[in-house]
Amino acid sequence: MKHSDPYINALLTNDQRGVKEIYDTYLPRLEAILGKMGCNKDEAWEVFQESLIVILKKAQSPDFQLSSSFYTFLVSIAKFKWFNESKKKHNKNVTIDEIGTLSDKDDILESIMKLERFQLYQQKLKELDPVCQKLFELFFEKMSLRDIAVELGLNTENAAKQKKYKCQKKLIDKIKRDVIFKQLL
Amino acid sequence: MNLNENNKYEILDDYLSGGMSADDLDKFRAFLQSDADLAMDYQIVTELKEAKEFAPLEADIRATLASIKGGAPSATSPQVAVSHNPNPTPISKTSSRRFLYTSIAMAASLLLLVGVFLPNMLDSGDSYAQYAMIEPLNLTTKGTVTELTLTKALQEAYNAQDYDQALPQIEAYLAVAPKDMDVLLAKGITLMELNRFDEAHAAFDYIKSLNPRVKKYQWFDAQCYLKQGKLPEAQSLLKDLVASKAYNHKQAQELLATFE
Repeated sequence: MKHSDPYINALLTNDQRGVKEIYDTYLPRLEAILGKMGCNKDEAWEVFQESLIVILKKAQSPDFQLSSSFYTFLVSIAKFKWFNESKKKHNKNVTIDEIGTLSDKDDILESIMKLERFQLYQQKLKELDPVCQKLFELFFEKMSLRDIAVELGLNTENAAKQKKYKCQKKLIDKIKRDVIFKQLL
Repeated sequence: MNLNENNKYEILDDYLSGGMSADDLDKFRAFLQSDADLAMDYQIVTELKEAKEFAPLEADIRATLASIKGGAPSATSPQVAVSHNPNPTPISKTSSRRFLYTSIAMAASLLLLVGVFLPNMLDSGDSYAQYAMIEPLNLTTKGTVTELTLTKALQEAYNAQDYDQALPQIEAYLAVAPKDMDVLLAKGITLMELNRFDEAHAAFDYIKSLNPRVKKYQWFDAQCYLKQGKLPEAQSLLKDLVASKAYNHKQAQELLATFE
């Protein structure tokens, strides 16, 4: 997957030199912008990092198109991220001046929420019992149910299948019961 | 189609795998439209898969950013948090012999990965020395006193890199739990460290015969060839790791680049 924007491409290919250029060029500018919104340097680093992850996720989509410059896109996402973070951390709302002019604001917000849901899923996976954790690990490695049965010491492929459904139910129940999940929908 | 709490995940699986008849497909889509709870289940299942597929890319970028920043990876990173877990999740074993919960501490894998770039390697033996960092074995058991003692002794010897002592402990452990993949891998590594190469390759081959899809053994099999100075064999295994994006594929890529 190659993108015409060199920075997007650097993220997609995890090109250290390109990512460093993003870091050197844009982190100081982002610190200055977010600083005016009450964000300290450590928080700006977190927001910068999370914003790049959002861009990476969006850029993976085959129909992704950058409708502005990379910098504008990064700043927009970072502002939304900081808006969310400041609500969570400091229980206060910050004003995002360009919010009204961003044509893809819903899309950006949905991407941010989706990645936060991803983090929640990972967290809930870790709360499962070891057998379920192992089963999911193998399942996501695309191991067949027959091999999973062998690995987990289950007698049959069907036993592995039934175990998978039970684990899936446990996981989904945990996710649905979490109050944060409801806020991320 | 009779959809209920007991079979909904099975039906959801059928839907996602494309294994549904046209008739059932229409019915299921109607269920998805009308049943908010089912729609949420569907969303979670599909996003969970997406999250798992995205996780390695995310971890790579976080590691790159962390290395650029010059500090440790962010504690808020979920992948990094897993790596730093001081109490790795034990893996359940359902062996009738009662050896139940084992795990290898994955934390040390980070040592293999982040920011390691080793130019000017002289030969394949050097490559082995630079790359074959061994993860500590972290076994915990629920069993008898004998089993606990055996596990402790094995772990201590192996983690102290006292491979002469570790090998008999490993053999004793495998006599009780012959298909414990973690300990089988430890056996292969131990034999490699003792320069008993043919036996080490045989141990890795045995792991492959039990479970060819988890390719961690292949990384160490390649290291074993490197230690022997058998570069073509090592390259072949490393290339396969890269092609299949399996365990340590990025390190395999780095290592291959040093041979060119």
